[in-house]
Amino acid sequence: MTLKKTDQFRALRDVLALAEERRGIRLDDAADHLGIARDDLREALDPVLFLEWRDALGELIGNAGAFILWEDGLLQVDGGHWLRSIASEPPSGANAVRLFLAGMIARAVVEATTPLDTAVAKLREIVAADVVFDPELPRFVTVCQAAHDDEAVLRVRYVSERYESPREFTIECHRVASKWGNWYVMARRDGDPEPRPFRIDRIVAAERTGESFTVDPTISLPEWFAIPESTVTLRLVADDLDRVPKPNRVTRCDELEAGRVEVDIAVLGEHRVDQVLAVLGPAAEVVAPSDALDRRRAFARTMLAHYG
Amino acid sequence: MNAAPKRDALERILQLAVYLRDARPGRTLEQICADIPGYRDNDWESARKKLRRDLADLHDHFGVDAHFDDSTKTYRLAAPFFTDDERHALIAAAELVRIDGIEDNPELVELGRAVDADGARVVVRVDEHLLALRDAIASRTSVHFRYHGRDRTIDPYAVGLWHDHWYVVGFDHDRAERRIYRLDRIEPATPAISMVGKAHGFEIDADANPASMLLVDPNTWGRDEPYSARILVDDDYVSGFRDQLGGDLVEHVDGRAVIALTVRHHQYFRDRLWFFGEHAVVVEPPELRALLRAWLEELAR
Repeated sequence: MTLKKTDQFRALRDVLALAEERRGIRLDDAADHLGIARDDLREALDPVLFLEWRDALGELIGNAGAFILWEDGLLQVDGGHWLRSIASEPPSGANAVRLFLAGMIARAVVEATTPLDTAVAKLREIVAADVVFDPELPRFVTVCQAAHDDEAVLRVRYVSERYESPREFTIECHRVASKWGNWYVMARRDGDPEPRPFRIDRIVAAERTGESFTVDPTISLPEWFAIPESTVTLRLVADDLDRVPKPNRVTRCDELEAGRVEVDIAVLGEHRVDQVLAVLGPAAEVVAPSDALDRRRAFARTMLAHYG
Repeated sequence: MNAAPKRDALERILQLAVYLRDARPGRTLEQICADIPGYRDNDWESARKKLRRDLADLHDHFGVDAHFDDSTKTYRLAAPFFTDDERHALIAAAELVRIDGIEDNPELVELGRAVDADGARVVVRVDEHLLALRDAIASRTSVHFRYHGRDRTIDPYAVGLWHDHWYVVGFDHDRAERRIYRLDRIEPATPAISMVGKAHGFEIDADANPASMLLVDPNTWGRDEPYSARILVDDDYVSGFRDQLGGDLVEHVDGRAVIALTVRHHQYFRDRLWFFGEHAVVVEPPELRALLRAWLEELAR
């Protein structure tokens, strides 16, 4: 069945995007992606697979339009591709924001290039009059990434909130990635076969051991971390909710009188309960759990030993 | 309903695009009719209308703009928005970084939307309200939302990220002053953020710098009595401490680092200091130590 005009245009532009941005796509996969029959897609692409035209005397003017190569079922955009490159419309608002953020982060993560700088500058003109975004990297991101690239084992000194003292161990950096605002390295610690995520901002020292390992490309950052949550119930002034330290979050908020609220705060990890209680302070009335008040007092007494 | 196209229509439009690309500064209708077969056998008016339709298709489907220059009677392409190198750099950036939280039209035609995002090394989640607020700022429209149990109406000036949280700064109608709100504290509703009033309902000073409006760090804008503080910090916690509170490492005493910083917002400093427990202790000035002691004594009761 021949595609309608609008569908034909859509098929062409989407295949162009897939072929360029994925460095090639199989005709079957493209047809699946677009939800149309393979033969219909093939027919729709005819003009760009074999585009040429002749003048009134039959002389060939050119075939510069044939910018999609089709070999072994693989569609690729050749170096002479021009249709997307002459687009004069700026990205849409939402996509401009997306590209601006991606571009800004890319400049921080990899070496900035002039084209990326100028592209980000153009996007800034569209979105950044309103959006302020300046990503920062923990200092050992590049060290971990280089160790991953070179398959070099690192000895790190790591500060965990759960332990009083920093620990030293070796890691094999199988993947370095940022998620939800934190940078992680998925690593095997001291040769442990089970890879675990380590927050890179908690690495305070790192050096190569001289040993090597083989990167396992199947290891990736989990979609979600199963960190146990504790719930603390407090009554406090509504404006103090802004002081709840991250990554903990308010899961219930009921209004009381005189600008006060009763809230449940989901505290990520038992060890952070003391922090939350200390930060919100004596004006926060502890409702639950029953031992929270004692914990708050114990923290205060420990710290008073340093401020006596 | 669109008619089923002949292959010729798409072919003609693509030929037109490449012809105009190579024919800067432009071509007349007569030249186009002579050189592109699809226009050749039409009378002048039919060819003109067909050309207009084709140019509209180029714009609507491929983002390619051409305009008619009345002074030279030629059609010419507008300059591309990105150069090839810029486009390639942004595609590489889109491959590297996946932005979650922006729900929009996932059209593949949009630059960077057809990449294989499974291999992204960086995944960044932006606040779900970012786009709504950005649109309101762009159209200068006031917004309403619920925040800490209260209704707020603001003229939004800028949104931005600081310490992994997104904020909006704007003029709060009820409080009659500029305020900053954290986006993840906006209460859920449908919609959570609604535009109120007319577009272009307020102005933002043309000289205003969004970054300076979004001075979220309380130690920058705090108005408390400033203290020049020295804090003894265990070496392993220096990096984390400075990420949170800034300051300069000035010396080492008994194997611990001494961080110097000016405290301009007492509450913010205290809240962040407790993160580090016994690993960070203020040694000077006595006034700041007294403030912390008073707080701890109350906490210990």
